[in-house]
Amino acid sequence: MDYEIIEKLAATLKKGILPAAQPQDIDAAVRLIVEKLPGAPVEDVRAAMRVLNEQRLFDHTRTIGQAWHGARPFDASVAKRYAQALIDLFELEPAEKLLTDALGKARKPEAGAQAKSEIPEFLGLLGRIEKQRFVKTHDLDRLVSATDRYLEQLSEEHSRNDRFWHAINVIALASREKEAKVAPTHRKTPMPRPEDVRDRMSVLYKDTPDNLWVPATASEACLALEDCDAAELWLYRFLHHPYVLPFNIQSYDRQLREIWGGNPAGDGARCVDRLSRIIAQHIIRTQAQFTISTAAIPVLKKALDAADGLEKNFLGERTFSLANVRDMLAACKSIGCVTNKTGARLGTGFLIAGEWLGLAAAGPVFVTNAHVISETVPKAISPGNALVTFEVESELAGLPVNYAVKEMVFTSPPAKLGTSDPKGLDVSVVTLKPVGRAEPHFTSLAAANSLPLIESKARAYVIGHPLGGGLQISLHDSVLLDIDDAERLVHYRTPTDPASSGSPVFNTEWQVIGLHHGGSEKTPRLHGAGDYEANEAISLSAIRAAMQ
Amino acid sequence: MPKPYATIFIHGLAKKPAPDKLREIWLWGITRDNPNPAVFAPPNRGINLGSQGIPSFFNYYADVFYGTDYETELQSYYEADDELAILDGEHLNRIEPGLKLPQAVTPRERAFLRNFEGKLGASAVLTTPPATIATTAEAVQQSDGVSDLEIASWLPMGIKQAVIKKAAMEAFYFLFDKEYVRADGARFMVRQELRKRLLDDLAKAKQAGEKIVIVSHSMGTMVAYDVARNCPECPAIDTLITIGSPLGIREVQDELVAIDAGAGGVDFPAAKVRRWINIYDPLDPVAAADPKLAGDFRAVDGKSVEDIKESNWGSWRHTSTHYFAGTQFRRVLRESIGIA
Repeated sequence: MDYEIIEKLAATLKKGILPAAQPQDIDAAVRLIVEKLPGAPVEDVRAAMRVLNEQRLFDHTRTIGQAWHGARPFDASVAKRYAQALIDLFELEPAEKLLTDALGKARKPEAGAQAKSEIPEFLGLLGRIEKQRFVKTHDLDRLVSATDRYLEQLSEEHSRNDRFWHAINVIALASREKEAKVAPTHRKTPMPRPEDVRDRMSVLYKDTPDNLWVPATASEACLALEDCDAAELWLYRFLHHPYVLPFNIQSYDRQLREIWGGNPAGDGARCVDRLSRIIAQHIIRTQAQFTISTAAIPVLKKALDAADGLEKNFLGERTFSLANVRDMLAACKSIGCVTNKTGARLGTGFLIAGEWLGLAAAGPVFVTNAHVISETVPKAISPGNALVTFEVESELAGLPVNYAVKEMVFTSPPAKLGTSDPKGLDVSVVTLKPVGRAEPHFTSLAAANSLPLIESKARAYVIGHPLGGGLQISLHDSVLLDIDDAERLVHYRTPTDPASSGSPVFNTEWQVIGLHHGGSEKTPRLHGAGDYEANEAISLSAIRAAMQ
Repeated sequence: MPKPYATIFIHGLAKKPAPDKLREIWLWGITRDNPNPAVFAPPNRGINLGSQGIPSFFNYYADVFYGTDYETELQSYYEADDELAILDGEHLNRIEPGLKLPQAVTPRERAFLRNFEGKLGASAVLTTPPATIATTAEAVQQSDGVSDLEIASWLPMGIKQAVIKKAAMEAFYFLFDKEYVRADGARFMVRQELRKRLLDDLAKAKQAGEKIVIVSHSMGTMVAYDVARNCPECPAIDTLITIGSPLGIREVQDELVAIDAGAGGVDFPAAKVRRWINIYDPLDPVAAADPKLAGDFRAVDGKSVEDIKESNWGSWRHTSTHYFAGTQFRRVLRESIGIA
């Protein structure tokens, strides 16, 4: 590792800028900042934590926050960034403790102006913790408690200037309470009115044009008022605000989906679905993320084969050429959903040439996780009980087309995340047979000869059936993070959900590089100590090597 | 764990963008899909070296002559429809103030400069009107070279002279290992310096990949050949790709001939190189004096240069990113890195 590069990167981070850099270099730069923390100006540390949070590198912010906590006196702004990171890493209890302590210190008479200015932020974050607890558990008591916390802040003296930010959360959460038919009777504080928030935002939009949260809040207030045209207008103002970052857009997107129940794939009858769809389209254009239903794939592919007019509308993004999109859509037909015989979707899998895996004349074989199909792994479907459906084929046929497992060719049990074990590859390779039909004409995915290099532009894409839903392609935030020295494990930040297990992981040319098998907010790093938010795949070449 | 292949890119003539930026531009040139469908019919897929697990190294030497005052006008590297802008972007349109043009001392040096400039000049000043410029890949395939096609006659005389002077300067300082004193006072024995830089990059590439593939452009092809043939410490090179090369010029060959090559002149560097592919556009003013190399570089151990004709399109036909767009170049590169 080049020490000069790391020093330069650390210095840049301390200016609040994160240039394109390899993950391990960022890690080393953060460690360098931590080493020099005792003498570092607090402004530098705040700036580094801010940019790391903005770029969603929360584990690094946590590292700095932890170190600061032990080495330096209380600083309200550092505590705020640290707490933000903990919340995003779902470490809600430590975050709550940190914020409660910080709030106590900031409220003391001798606290400085900077600390006092963070009080509304602390209160907001405490509300967010309860909101996250509700999102994670769907426990309605948490929902009521989150509403109460935001409501409580409205009466705080220090929240006076910010009460509209808290008010909009109260309005959103109360709307969710209403939908869930929850009617708390204990509240004394009057509920804020969305029209008041909207009117205040209209004034602030002129007075504080740099504040990017004003149009987002106005949009949400209009959503509450069921004035959808106005909500859309404010949303567009937010999306095109000169200071808006992906991080900010995701915050509002999350609010719409998690609290208001927005669904970008909905039929558009609900206002919140329309707003979610606008954001999804914006993200497609600017960040290369999209979700596609299998029903649309044959139509899109046909259109792409016929003309190139779709390219601009479909992607609007420089990275993907027409040819690349065509390859991506072609890959979809080789990806199947694994269900048990009751139809419960439990995983994903894909077809690959048996010859590539070293099998003699096996033809296409189906690859998935051992924790999806196995005789011995707990909770996996036994081969005799598993059904595989290729959604593109089923869409074209107009009815489900199922395949049963013919033969288990190879299997290797799962190992813990971050464990590079040639005997723990979490893979099952099976051959398929049609259920009551003639032999199919399977198409195998192309396999990459070599794993990609870890560099700033490296990407890993996943296509699968997250949350048991339709086939989805995720192009957003698809950073390839690391590969272990044995080239057995691949880490990436592509968003995936349960039931993505067994999905193929692709390089940018839609060649398979690995088999997705899990992920966590605390996946152990492949190089260096500690953990980070990452998904993990087993490299296809490691599977091939184990099968020899 | 070393990868199966590693690549080294060596740039060509004149002042360049900063190393990282040049790297980005070159990778962009190779990666893009169907870059000019009017010249190269689709499918003409790009090659993403990083995605294919191929480490790339970028041998950079423009700073020896031009310091760190990097080229910052980059738009022309991405735009193919304005040739004068390309020349401007590649900094070929003028001689920088302070740039020291070569002063020949010996008769051999004088003869080199006279003949080298003369041959490049002959390529660049033919006066046939530009109506017959071949554009498509097919037209270039059908043409035989300079005799029936116009080369760069559209260029204003001042630009032609600047191109020729720069090429002559870089070739002269390199081939005669002259000391170059840069405007800021830094001194380089040019051939030694450029050899050292390439050998350093080759050593890194050897660590990163089991086989090394070199892609060299323009003046960079001279450095590549010199190191492969005249530096015993050069590691094995699996494939050497030269594009838009002046290695066909007799005066260049005379200065690169190895001491053990015998009377037959320059030869294939068979001890170090397994395969050598030379890609040229017959209308490339730098290569056009003698674009094919198979006849000049004597075959050794059954190995000889494979010459491939490829359109660089447009009027200024020496642009690296145009070569990188070519279907032939991409086929060769794919073969070379094992992803054909």
